[in-house]
Amino acid sequence: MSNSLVVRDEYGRVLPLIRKIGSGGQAEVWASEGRIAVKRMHSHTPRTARRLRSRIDVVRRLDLDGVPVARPMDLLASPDTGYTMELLEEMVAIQRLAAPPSGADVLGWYAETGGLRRRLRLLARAADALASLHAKGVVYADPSPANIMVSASARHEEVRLVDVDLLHTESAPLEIGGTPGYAAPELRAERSGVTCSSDAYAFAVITFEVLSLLHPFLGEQVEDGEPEMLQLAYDAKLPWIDHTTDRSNRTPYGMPRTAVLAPDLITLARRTFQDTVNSPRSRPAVAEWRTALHAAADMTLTCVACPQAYHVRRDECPWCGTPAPDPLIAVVHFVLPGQDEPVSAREVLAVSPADELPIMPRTAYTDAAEYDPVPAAWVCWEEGRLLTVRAGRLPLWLTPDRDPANAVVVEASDQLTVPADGAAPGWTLHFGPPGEPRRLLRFFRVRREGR
Amino acid sequence: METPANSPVARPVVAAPRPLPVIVLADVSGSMTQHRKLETLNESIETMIRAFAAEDTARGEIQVAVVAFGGDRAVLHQPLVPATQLTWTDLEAGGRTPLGAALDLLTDLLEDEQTIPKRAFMPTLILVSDGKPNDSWEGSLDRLLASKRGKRAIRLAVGVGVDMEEEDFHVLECFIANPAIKPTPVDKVHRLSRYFSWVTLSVTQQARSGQQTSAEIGFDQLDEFLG
Repeated sequence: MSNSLVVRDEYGRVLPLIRKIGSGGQAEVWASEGRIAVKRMHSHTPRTARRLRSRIDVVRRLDLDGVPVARPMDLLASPDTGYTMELLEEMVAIQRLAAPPSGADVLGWYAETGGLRRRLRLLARAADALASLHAKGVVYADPSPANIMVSASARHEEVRLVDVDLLHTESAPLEIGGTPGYAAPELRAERSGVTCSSDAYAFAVITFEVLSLLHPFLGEQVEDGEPEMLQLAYDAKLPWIDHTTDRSNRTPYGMPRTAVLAPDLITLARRTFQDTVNSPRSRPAVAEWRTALHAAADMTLTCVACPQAYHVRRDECPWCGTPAPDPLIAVVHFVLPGQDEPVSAREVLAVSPADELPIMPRTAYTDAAEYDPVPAAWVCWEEGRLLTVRAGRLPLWLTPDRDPANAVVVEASDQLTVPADGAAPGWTLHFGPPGEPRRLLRFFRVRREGR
Repeated sequence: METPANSPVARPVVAAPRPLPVIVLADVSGSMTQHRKLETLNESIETMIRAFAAEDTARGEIQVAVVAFGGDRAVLHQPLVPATQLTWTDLEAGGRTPLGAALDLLTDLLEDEQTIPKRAFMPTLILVSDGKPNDSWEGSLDRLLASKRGKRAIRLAVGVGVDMEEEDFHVLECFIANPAIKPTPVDKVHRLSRYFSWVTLSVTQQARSGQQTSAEIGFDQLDEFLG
């Protein structure tokens, strides 16, 4: 191993290694100059170099436009083996959200790191990224909580996949082993190489961990047992912790699943870890997780009394017990000109009082880029008083429900506050000019039953 | 589900990370003071502990203990504590090489379930020596290798300095008791710190992955580290 703190890329450019930002079994990652990161493999044998070069050549030919991955740029020159990539500043691995620091107050830490809603949104975006790779026929190969990077600040929600030197179309058994705990049972049993289904298994484990702070197979008997039990758990040779009939691997640890997993997510977890655990072809795809995660994020409300968030369907906050107010629901419709009554609801969002709700481009526009991280609009509703709408990169239109012909424009990057003195705001938000085909948002107050 | 849909949650807790013990058996006989051997060992152990402490992983909590053997006895120089809570005190040298006493102390430590609970990962044991033992160590080694944890621990050994003889390496081989793993000769003392860099990587890999297979232990990378 060379100790010099400088490497060269294949074009002879000198790259100082300024700060080590990570190290793993195969490689170290350093920050260099000019927003460049250097991934340097531990092994510099000709064989390693040859294999890496052919892998990177394949990855560079893949069409990754619009997919949020840290793309490999240039190979390192001999005697080093590795490559350069974009330096992800202000980002950390999603594993930071899956386990509290030792001794921390778990609930307080969960809220400080963005709570349930931010976790759902970050996971939804990671699912967007993986699902779009899969749509291009590309397997990510080793999804783990260490290679999904997310914004370090709880106020931001950027996502990037790293370690893309493993991107594959499909692999032979054993070629890529995956990360213990995330590798699908068929990879561990060497029955199969990596596939979109093995990616989906790993992503399901990551999702379950980030939301519930629990590995789906590490029940109490595993946690308290000898380390050999971990192998059984990772091989999925034990029932999962929330198995519907076999309760032998249950656990008292972690977040209660009914509080952090929307019904659709509970179903996907059960299908992945119970019904299809050994039948990868029937396993739910990442695209299914993505839909359920976006929907769950949209249906999450902030508690009026504590910093936590929960699913709009619950009658009270699962964390402090405060009764949930009658929720305000925003329904997304698509309308054609001359068609006053929108026909079908496309998507439903829950609006928390006095909390700014970002509306993402994929919700607002039919032609939005999948990963556009800049919201199309922010909506803030002060119950019985005001509705504030802030526009993203494009203008918005507001129409009073009593007088729909009388539209007001909110210019791009501008904001507008209108009176909203009823139980619901009484305004409709349009993502295109009235008179053109467009999506719009209508607000409804839902009365909870039994009050 | 554990919690009925409408009952407020008390206080969720997570399982404590599983301990991953790393135990160094350090030869502190008089000869270790020559050629900066002991000084380098102290620096290497301290650097390793700092790297362990900086490692934030939920899967394993790396804990470190150091058994020092010199003079006519072995002492638990550093009791087993999490690396994050450890303040390192340098080893001091003097006297002979009572390896047998060190192995006895080690076996007692490994067998003590108060110190190492059964859920702990297999310990990594690193024997560092610069010469031959001068007590009767064979019986003590048999006892270690017959003990449940001692038998299954990851046992590594490193021979420091140019004065190491074939017979001395034989002792290290007996400690490892695995024909697939050889004692590592460290003739130049700066390579001792590289050896410990490799141990650091190996242990952090085990802690991160939560498993202890040959891939995680990474013997194939040792030569790269020694350069």
